[in-house]
Amino acid sequence: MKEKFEFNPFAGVLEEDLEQIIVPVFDIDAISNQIECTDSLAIEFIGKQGRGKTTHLRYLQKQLNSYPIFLLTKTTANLSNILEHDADVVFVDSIHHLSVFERLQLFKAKRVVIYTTHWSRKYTCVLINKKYYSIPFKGITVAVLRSIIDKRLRLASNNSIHIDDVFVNNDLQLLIKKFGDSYRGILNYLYEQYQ
Amino acid sequence: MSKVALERDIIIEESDNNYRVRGYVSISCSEIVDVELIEGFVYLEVRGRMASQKHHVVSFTISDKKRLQTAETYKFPFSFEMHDLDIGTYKGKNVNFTYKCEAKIHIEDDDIDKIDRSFFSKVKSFVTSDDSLKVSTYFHVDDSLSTYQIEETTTSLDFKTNFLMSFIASLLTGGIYAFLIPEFNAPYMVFGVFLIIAVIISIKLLVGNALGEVTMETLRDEDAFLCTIKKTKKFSLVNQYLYYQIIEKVVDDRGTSSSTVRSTIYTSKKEKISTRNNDVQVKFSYPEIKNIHSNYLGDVSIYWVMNLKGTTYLGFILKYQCEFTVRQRRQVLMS
Repeated sequence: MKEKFEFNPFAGVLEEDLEQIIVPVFDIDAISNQIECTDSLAIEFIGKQGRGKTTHLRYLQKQLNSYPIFLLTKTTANLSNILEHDADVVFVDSIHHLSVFERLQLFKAKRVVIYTTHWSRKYTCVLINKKYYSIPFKGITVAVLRSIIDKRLRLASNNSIHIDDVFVNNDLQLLIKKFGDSYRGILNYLYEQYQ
Repeated sequence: MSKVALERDIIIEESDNNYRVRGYVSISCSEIVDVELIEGFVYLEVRGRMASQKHHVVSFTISDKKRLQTAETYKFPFSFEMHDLDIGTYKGKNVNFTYKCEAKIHIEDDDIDKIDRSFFSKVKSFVTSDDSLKVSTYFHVDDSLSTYQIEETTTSLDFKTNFLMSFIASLLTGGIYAFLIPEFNAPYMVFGVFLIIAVIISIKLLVGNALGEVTMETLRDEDAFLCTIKKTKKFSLVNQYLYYQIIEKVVDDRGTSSSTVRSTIYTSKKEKISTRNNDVQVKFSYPEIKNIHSNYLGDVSIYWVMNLKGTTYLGFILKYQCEFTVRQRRQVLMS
């Protein structure tokens, strides 16, 4: 089976392949419209780790690529970098690396902030009277999991394989039973199987 | 009007052990098409349990303007050299390094709209954002003639924390809590964690000072390397063993949390060393597997560590460790 693929289908994807593997949880046109037409808005992608928040944030930013994305880590969380950027719409991954005061500053300074978080930051928005809404990343279905896995298999395959035959529904149900809605957990497990 | 079917393929005919790669792009079309340019690109793809990376290696021109006649198959040969590469093809536990050769076929503006874009050949091929047609294939970089070479250096070995030390620290902390702490609440728990860390550091310093400093000197020795361990007279461990390991480390920074995976990909033979002499020299051979030299590529690293293990008179095993650097030297044959 492994030789039917040019690379491990469950490895991290390259930036250029992102659009080919994602199964969006939101309507891209509707959300893009809101971002472009609203005076003040915060959109939070909320959920536990490994549920697809960052993947969706990167995907959405690729569709609206005139706006910058800031992937914050413990060492790269620098608010001034974000504030110094001219754009009035910013994408921020892992906003928890900013303090409450920094988040307040950010929400005040930028017209639209789209960010990922484990916990809701809506109270920060309430404090400065900024509109907000949350997109939850929670739950999993066999159909969505199949779609994600099939897309990855198709991207990595050397076209000598019928993707539909690789996983049966029972396999997917077992994966969900073992890992719940942790897509990262499922993909890491499958990575080991295919490596 | 029916669209023009443009069938294309890319074949690597040879990737020799002198880092020269030769191949061709084949194109056939159902109607006359004017090709403006065919460009070649080589990329190193680093894919694994982390955000994958793509690095540009080399670019070259495969063909300039060419009119392609109906129902003829054209072969556009190409070749390139990769002498400056530091990494070859590698399949690890958590990451793979692979090389991809990609051809971009630029069609004349007047013809571009005639091309059937839904066409999908047997190999991966797409239409790119700049309207060129893309076809790519993976190939193996043959490193069979390359050799490892250690960086000659002198370095100190670090005394490593082990389970026993953590156990003693926990036991001491537990004892202090049982007799001195009146109640078990959140601040005391935080204090307990700091106390355990402080006790571990203290034990480490105490034992480390008691055994004295241990240094390692590395020297090249043709197809092997020499490792000289210098101990003080205080170093009283028995059953001393020296061996090295090669570790593959991947930092998964995708998403809102970070995790690190470390896998040992090679362990050398364990060499028993003399406990009588302060200075001992051991000759180690390099592993047969290629492309596992010291390497740092973003979130991925492969590093070599030397381990010195010994047993105390009470039977506890203690370990010293240090990192060292090994390069891969490519031998380019003169033709």
